[in-house]
Amino acid sequence: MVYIAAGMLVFWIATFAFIFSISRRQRTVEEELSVLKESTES
Amino acid sequence: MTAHKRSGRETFWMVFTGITGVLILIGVYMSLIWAPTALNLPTVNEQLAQRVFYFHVSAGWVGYVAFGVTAVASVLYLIKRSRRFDNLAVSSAEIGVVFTAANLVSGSIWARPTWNTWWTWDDPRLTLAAIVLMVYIAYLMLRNAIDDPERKARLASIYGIVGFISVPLSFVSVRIWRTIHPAVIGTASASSQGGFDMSGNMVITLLFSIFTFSLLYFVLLHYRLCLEDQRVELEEYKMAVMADS
Repeated sequence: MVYIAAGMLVFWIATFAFIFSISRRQRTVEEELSVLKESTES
Repeated sequence: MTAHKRSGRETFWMVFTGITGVLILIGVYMSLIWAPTALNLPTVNEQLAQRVFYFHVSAGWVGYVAFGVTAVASVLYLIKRSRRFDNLAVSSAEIGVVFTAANLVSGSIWARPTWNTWWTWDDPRLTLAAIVLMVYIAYLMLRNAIDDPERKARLASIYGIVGFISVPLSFVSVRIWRTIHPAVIGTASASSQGGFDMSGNMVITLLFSIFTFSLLYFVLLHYRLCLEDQRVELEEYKMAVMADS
């Protein structure tokens, strides 16, 4: 039972970590872009 | 009009993501409960660990497809010099690395009760799968090491094409070399020791799992591509600001 739980866990941790990483990077890029746009427009 | 189109596209991806999520849950149910237990395996641990195989094979499949897309996008970039293809190449490679890593680790977890070892470097398939992973981690590292976007895209494209050689080599390794790794797709070579049979419901579960993982790949690729497009937009904006000042 431990093996199947570990196998499943590894896969889903990797997938959700990747989704989280995309979302975090997206937020950083969006913030940087809006700060840059504001500073150039003002 | 543009805003309306964008909103329609976003709605499509939200619905597509939701459907993929539901299908994945069905796939999990099929893998853990619906698929029959491999009673031909000697121990309960092996029988339970065998269920990891549905995720293991599907993750490996997505890894191969993702690296294939990287290679095709790299060729297209070198021909058309469109940044869009380079964005597609790097996005797909990143997903490929995640799924190949999951494939290797889940395979290792399956191997422990089955082969009585987590890993063996004597096996060509295992070694080649590890090499494939290293090749594409190096691809991502190469991209991070180069600042000039044009040069980065050009070198990464060449690397993406050459690096892909490792993928078909890993795929056919269970047929051309002596290995303990089972051949799941097609017939194992006479020298392969690990071939195994699957019952009807096992085949259905495996195919369904491969299908849902493929959908997951498209979902992740879409969101990763959106990120890459925004990164390029930010990069170009910065360059424009620097040129103005």
